[in-house]
Amino acid sequence: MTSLDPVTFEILRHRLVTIVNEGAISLRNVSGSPTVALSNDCNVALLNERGEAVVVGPTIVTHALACSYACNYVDEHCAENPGVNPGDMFFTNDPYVATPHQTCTVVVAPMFAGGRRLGWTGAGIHVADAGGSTPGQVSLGAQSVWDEGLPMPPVRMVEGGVLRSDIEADWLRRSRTAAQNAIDLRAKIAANTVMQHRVMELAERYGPDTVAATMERIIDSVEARLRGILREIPDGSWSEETYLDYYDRGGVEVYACRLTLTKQGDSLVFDFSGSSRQAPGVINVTRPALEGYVVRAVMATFGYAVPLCPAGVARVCDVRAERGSFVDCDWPGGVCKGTTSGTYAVFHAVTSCISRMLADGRMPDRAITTWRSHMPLFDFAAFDAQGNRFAGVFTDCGLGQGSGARGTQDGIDTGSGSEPEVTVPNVETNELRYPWLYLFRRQGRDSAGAGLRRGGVGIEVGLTPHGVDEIGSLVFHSHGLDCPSSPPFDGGYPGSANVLQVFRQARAAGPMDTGSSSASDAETPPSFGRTSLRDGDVLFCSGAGGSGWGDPLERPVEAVAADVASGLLSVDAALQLYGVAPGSDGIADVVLTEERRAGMRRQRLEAPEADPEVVQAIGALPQACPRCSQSLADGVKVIEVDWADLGAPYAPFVGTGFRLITGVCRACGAFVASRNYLPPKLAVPPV
Amino acid sequence: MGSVVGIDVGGTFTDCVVVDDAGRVWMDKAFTTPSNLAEGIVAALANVCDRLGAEVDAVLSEASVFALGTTSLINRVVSRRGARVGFITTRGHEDAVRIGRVLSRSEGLPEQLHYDVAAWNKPEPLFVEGGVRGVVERVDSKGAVVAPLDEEGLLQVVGELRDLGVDSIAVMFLWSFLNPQHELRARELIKQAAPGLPVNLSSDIAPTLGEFERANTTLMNAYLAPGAERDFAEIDARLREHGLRQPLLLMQSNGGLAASEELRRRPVTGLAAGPVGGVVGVQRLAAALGVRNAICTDMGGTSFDVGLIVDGQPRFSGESVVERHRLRVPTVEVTSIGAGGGSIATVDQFGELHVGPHSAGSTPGPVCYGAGGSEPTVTDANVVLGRIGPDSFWSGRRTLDWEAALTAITERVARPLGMDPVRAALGIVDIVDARMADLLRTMTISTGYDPREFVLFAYGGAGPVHVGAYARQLGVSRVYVPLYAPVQSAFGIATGEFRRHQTRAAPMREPYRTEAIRETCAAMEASTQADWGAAALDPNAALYQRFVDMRFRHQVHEIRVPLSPEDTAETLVQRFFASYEQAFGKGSAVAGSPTEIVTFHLVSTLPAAAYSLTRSSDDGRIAPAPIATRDVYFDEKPTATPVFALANLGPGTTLEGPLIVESPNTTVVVHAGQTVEVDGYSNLGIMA
Repeated sequence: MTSLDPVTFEILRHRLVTIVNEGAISLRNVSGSPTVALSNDCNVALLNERGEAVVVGPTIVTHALACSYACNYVDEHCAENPGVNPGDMFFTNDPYVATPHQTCTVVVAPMFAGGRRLGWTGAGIHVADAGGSTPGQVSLGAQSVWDEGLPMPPVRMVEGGVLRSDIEADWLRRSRTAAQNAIDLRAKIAANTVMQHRVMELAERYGPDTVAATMERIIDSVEARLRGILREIPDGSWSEETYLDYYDRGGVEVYACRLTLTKQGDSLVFDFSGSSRQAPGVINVTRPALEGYVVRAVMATFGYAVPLCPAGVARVCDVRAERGSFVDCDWPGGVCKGTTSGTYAVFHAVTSCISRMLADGRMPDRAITTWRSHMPLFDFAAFDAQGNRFAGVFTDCGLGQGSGARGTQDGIDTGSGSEPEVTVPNVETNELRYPWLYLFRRQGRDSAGAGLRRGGVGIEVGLTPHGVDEIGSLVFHSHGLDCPSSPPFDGGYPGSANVLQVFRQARAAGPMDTGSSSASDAETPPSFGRTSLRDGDVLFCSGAGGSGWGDPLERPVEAVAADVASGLLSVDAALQLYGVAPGSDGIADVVLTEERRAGMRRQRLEAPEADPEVVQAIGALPQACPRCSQSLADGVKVIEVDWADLGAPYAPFVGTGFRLITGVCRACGAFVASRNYLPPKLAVPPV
Repeated sequence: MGSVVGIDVGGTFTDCVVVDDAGRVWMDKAFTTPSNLAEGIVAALANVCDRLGAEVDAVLSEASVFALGTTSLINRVVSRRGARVGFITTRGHEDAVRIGRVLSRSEGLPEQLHYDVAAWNKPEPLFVEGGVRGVVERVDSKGAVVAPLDEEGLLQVVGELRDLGVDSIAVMFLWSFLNPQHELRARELIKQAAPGLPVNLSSDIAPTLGEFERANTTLMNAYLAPGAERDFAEIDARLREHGLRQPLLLMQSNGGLAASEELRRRPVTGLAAGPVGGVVGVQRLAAALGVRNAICTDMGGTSFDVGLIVDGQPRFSGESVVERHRLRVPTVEVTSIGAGGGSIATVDQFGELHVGPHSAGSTPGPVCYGAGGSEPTVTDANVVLGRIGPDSFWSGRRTLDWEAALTAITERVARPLGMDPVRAALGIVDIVDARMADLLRTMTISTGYDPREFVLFAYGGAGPVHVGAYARQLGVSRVYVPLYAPVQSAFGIATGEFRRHQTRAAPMREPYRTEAIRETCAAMEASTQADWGAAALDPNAALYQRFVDMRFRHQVHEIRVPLSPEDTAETLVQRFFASYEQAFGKGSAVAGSPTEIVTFHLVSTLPAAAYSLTRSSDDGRIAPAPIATRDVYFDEKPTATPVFALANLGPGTTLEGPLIVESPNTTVVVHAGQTVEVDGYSNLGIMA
């Protein structure tokens, strides 16, 4: 190995980042699809000789990780036949090999210089359609991968620099959006070409060994940095159970993702044993996606100190799961909804466990309960009077959710997600592109999970068809409508549910801002299913708020009053959730509030204790009550909080079997722990 | 014809350039006086007048143009010293600014905080707490009224906002840029109900698609206007006391000048004007030198700012992010990274060497300033390497402490890395040069151009020290260091033109009607002509350039396409395809795909002053003698390098590197293999 001085390393490190950014620019510019340009659902990577992702672009990291798995497969299966040669590029959208689901597609290309293989480049894009029974990413009702768009394992799409038209035709034949997929394929090829060309220039100037050594050093450096942080944190283990509600064949089943994170020294073991078995449906997570989402969550948490190098982060993470569970499914489990279903249960569980670890490790400022909740999503299509077809994916309420509360501050209102470039279009942009009229798009009052530090509020949208007689196809593929999807911390409450409701012919009757989740004439469409909207119908969609952290009764009265003043919290919820009584100024009466809070703490102490199996589920406790400093060595009183006592945002959870359980300090009545809880018999059983 | 005066008020210095009757350029600077900018302005002008041998009052009373660039607007935003703004919008959409398209939680953060995800937060909105009110009204995407304006409701919210004590109102209704009737009516009603309360309409301030950006831009204008009125009136009054007769002109973000009255009304158009003066100055010089495509690089103490000139025009963007607020204002694009003379070099616990983005700034500044700085910087490395002479700083008014710089680099960088101090200093400089080359490459590539087709201009205190190296890495073969490099922005301001940039969102879909396109252009032109007339300028003397932002119907990013009056719907589409392939590569545009028009732009310019720079003949070739020879490290062995005084280099002089050129406020480093040539305007041209 060539010796590498710190100056050359720093120059080459920065240059490799620049090269990857250049690749990302080519990818985005050539593609130009709304998914790529507006949602940044794409990425590029530079990988080392062994296919480890060394430098990745600034967008969604799982595309880059998919490239890594694709390289490994090509090395293992294609070296002899058809061969891996200069100028070759391999394409795949196979979730059982590389990508999280079939609509994520990657192209990887080996790089050769000075008679050796220097590494790989890769590029990934989420395409609009990859076949299957339903337009868009989700094949409604699919029971296995055989009912979905059939994936292509890695194929040599470019041979010696020439695009194989026969193989391209095979790929395009599988999609309803062949023309855009063709452009997206070229975009991935262009990004690889640009990066290869630039790395070759570097190899010529500095020597291939120096470039290769730089890549190894980047990984080593990131690994060392991350391990250094971990060594400062006390060893321990942390658990979380997250849920995924899946509507199929007329009923909702709940899948439980059970994670125990064990941190020893400078390593992390993520053990998903005991998670529900895989679904006869579209929501399963393949092994590459599981590892990808673990790494993604760790990278988001430590991004402040550790550059974007998945390989260095992956080395610190040992991921264990039972094959055949929904978080590590076996062929031919259905996976087409992969990126926003089972993977999110994984992502939330990992984020939660890491954050509990950081909070215990005196790094609460780096901790967050969750980045977002499950997403309410739907695809829609319509024809206008001239016969023009409109089609799109509605992401406002998924991306506009509230983030969870953080260890030292509230969550972010309508600002979820851990990628910097996530965004939703303007209302005007969407109305220009699609036949919708937005009656409102606003922050969701009372949607935030209550807590000493509250979650961020979610987003609410009211839509009605406009300029068309009907929107003939709405395909829902949503989670988080029937289960709490953000874990609360230390006595806080989970965020609200996602809500989808249709009000038939409500437009004529109501004012411009019609739409309320408590209206009695609401029709609730299936969370996985189809409907249509006629002119005058109103669709109400609400994206969840984030979960809270700490006992809501400990939230400073001024903070509650400020939320009431800014319209984020109703007076009723201030009283119900925070015990803050309205005063003569309409906002807060300090004396009455003290009395009410004292009364609420007494009620907690008088409430019946939960069943023993529930008590156990409360999990780890702080050493002492943060309110009265009483030692908690002898445990706490565990009680169940009735959703019905928490007001409208939690109404969807009533009757689901889910409970909010809280740990009460026996000395003062403060909440010191809280969990979402589902009796094990109500969840799909483990493998 | 009187002289032309350009002033650039910066954070530390106020720079002044005067172009006299004969086309000669004079320059100097003075300290900025933040509490009353006029004092620093007059002081800088007085310094130049000393050189000219003239009185300030005489120069001012005879000046044909007096143009000013100032950071006073941005300072108001940074220090949150704006008006108490009330915001009226379409009911149901009151939260558009707080939602901020989700993006506002991370947009505009400094690079080191970009991935500090747990620390993200949205910026505080520009309206007062509780100062948002929704009113029932609605227009749709065709401009049709879906719900009429609820006039009673409007009057009620105006009353509520008045009770809140607001002193400025912003109104943004959905789709008002297509149909402003509700906003116009709202203004009438507000004027009646609350006479004297300034009203800012989004259809007037930023008539473009996108309610979040349109609202922010309107709010920012409402936030700034009352203060801008006071600031500019004060400066104007002070200059009039000194005899100024011409109107005070101000630099706008679009790179052109406007009368101060206009910026008082639309201060948001001047908010990002700070760094654009330098680019405009390069545009003038490039035109004189016959250069079409230029990269403008300004390296100061804390940042490296880059602008591009393509086909003789600065690249502008319709949008910018100022103090984390996304604004829809035509702005000359300037990209910035934290790489300057003050960038600090550190060795971390893993033995890795980093340079920047943290900076020692101007206080305490680099170690060699002797003002209390202890962390080694890029400037310290240049001093250790002999590239910057100890006596060459700030006209020799401050001596640089070579030994202190060497000690800092030895202790903080060389020793931890087990390196020789010279090697460490070379490393620091190499790293910062490479970072700048990387940024320049990314910037040019992302616009669809190859940096090798550009000429580089370098200015700012540190630019000319480094340009020889970053130009070489970029593969650029020609570099200019302008004679006025130390006051490049003031030069740009002095030589600026009047510029009006009108934007109009007029969404159209193929098949287009040629008539509709021409009507839109004609209406915009008539409106701009009326504006020129109102400013007592001759509309017929103005130049008019038209651009259209277009895209493929199923895509999102827009391409800016030039439009000529002769263009038809057909030729416009052809032009779009050509521009698309220029930006994204041959074959990237799929033939037959339908396109759409999003926004029309009309850029109109008028010369502010008639003058021409003096050009000396290149014939009198002289061979100047170096003023000194000193050891300079270009690699690990010192090279005895001649040092020339810029003042001794006349037009036509050609010298071979390695060499150093020093002037009172800057140092030019010319590497071995590079040739330096002085042109007729006394700029230094460096060829690789």
